[in-house]
Amino acid sequence: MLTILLMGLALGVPVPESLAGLMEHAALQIRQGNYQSAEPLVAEILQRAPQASSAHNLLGLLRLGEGQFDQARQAFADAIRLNPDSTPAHVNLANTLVRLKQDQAAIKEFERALELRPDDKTALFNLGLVLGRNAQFEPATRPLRRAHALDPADASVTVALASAEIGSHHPPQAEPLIRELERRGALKSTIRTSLAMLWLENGEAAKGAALVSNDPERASDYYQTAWRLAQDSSDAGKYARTASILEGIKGLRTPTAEFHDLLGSAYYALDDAKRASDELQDAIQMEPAAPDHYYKLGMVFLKHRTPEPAIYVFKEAVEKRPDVPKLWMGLGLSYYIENQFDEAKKVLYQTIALDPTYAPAYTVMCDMLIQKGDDEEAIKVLTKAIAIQPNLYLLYYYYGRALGHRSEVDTEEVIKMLRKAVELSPDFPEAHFELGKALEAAKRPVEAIGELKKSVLLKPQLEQAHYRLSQLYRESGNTQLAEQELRAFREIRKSGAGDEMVQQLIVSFQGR
Amino acid sequence: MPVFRLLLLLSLALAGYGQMRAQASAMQEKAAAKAKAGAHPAEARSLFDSAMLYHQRRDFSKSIATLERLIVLEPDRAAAHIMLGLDLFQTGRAREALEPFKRGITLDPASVEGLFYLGLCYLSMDREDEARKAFDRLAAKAPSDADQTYLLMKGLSRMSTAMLGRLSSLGQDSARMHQVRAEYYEMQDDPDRAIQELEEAIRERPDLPSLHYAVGVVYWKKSEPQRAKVALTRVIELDPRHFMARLRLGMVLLELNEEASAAVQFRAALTEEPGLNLAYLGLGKALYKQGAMEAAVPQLQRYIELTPDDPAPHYILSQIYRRLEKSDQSQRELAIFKAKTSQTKEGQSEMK
Repeated sequence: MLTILLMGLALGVPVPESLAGLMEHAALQIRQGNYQSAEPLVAEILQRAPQASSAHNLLGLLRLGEGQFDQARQAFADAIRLNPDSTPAHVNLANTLVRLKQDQAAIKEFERALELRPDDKTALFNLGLVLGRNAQFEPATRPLRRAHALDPADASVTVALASAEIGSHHPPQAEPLIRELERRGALKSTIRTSLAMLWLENGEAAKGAALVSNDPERASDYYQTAWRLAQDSSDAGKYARTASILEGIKGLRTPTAEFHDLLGSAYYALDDAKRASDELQDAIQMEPAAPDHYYKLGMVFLKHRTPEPAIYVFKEAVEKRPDVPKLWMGLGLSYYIENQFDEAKKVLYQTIALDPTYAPAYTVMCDMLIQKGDDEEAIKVLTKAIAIQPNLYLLYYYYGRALGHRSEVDTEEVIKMLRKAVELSPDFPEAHFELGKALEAAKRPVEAIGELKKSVLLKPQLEQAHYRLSQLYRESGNTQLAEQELRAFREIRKSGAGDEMVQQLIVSFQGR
Repeated sequence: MPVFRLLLLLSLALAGYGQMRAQASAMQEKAAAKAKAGAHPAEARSLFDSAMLYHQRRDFSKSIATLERLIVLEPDRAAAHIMLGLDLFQTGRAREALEPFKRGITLDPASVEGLFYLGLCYLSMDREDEARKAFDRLAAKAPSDADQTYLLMKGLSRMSTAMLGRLSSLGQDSARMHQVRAEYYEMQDDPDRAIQELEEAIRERPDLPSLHYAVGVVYWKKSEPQRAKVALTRVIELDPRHFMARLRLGMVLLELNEEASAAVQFRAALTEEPGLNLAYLGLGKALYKQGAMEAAVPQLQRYIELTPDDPAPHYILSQIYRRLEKSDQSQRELAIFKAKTSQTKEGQSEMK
């Protein structure tokens, strides 16, 4: 909050003796909030000294006190016109501009006041506050550091400076100031909370937690805010921030299974398998019947291509929660990655029986059947699946692929299915690629090139699409583009960036 | 006097007794904390005192925050968990109160107040079986002396009558009074009048899932599955987390030969309450009836794990294994079924 000070009684413009007494009296009335009594006094002063800057400054203070900000601004502007070097008039005008929510103009006025009087603590303090209010923390630290140096005992200045230092990501500067406030007993509960929230917003959740940990109510509010922020950060894909917040507030409340789960998920996304596994195991210990914890733990192992422990986790899980389709799907996927196809198939059929609408089970199942060459079985599964879920793009994608593998291929049917997949999910690169291949087989090279180009646009590391494109360009006589695509193909192959569908499945299922 | 009223009376009186016990227990805790003052920070003691103060002033947001902090410092303080449960319950957060009560009771199995309010939480969520178990545990704490137990029961009965009078004074035609009368008629085996009363109650309070649930259950018992389905579906619309309604609806749907929909309800019930043993049995049956034999097996096995004395799933398993041409396993399950059935019969004849 800006401090409005009564200033301008010691002025450069000479005034008659009796006028000075009158002005002192008027200033006292304003200071005490007796605006009605001050009104005739100020009128008389202005009548007697219409050219005195101090008289207009006094009028400005009166109007400011009455809440008539526009009139106050005019009066301070008049005071400055009459005496451009009046520091108090500049400060008062700046404060009025702040009230009028004209922060940029206010900043200029404060800066002008400081040019005239560099050690004006009020101007330094208020300038720092306005800059801080506009999230300009780094610039705010400069005037506030000066104000603090002028009066280290002023708690308001110290708090403002500490806030600006936190906002500027200067923990080493902020911490001694907070300790200083603590030592002086100036850290009131509300200040503590504000500083804690600032630490939290600036990525130092643990420091914020330390500030409020001794006040249960504040700690509870802080915990809840931090928890929500951690969840939002996780939703926004900011996993490092999620982990940092959760680690910071761990000591404020007994962590719940949900807490461990979120922290584990963050570490999972950050590829910290050890911590992810530890946190998720803690979650399982606390909620042995909650399927999500097992699922995520299993996925940690699958992500790192260690299906054996994943199988162990999922087996444990389905014993406790045989009703949850995604746990069976996780087990099926683990068997698939471990090349135990029969087990995988059995488990995936069970998953589909348990929930015929569970799309990921069909995805894994069809991917596996097609990889193994069981196209006819895949088609059977897909026919049933499409009847249940006619709007799931993946089903048409796999259907098209399975049809394409038949010895006698009905190319038009393949194209129809893949077009449906593309129509339902235009951003799915693999469907464009398969459609491109089918169109190429149907001797429609122009359309084929169009689809293949879309696929590499959506997923540049799709090496096979580059290869097919190079072939098609060569056939059409465009050797330059053919060479370009071939180079792209070779580079991707060399870097090993081309991934498999299974890896994609793991990624696409994570966090579900 | 109807049994349900006696139970009500018993609960209420024990609540009073529980309060006294809680105070005594709080004093003991205080003494213990004092004794451990050297090892424990004084902060924990003062936090407990503050929480107690806020609790007495019914300033629950403060007491809850204080107790949550205290539990971090002293996770094994039973009274803190129970007080947290009480405060959550008082603020209408019965579902959240369950865990603190359970934890408190684990730490202090003698906590009468914890058990009583745990039972109330279950009742407020229509989890009758779990409520009954909590009250049974509570009743087991009554004196073993017959005279004292009799007097306690009599006192509780008087208190119940007084509470009924108080409820009545709040409105003869209130939804809760209709509900009380419906419960009475149900005990009297008069489902038609029970339904009549519940319909009246629903007219008063159409927003209360419990009333729709109660009428759904009566319809089901009356073998009117279509009406039960409508009422239970309404419960789920009002409270999608009402897993008891989902369980009942699953059973009704099984009776109506809508196995796929039944499976959906059983799975949804288990998502909410993974320990709901009957939902595994229901899901197993639903899958079996749809011909998904392999998928039914783990559901039934899980049910057996949770409810080892029930012979029924073994029979279904024997049928499944027979169809899967696993005759050894089928025979084994049939043998278990027979053995468990005869055990149950023996148990029943001994009871007679």
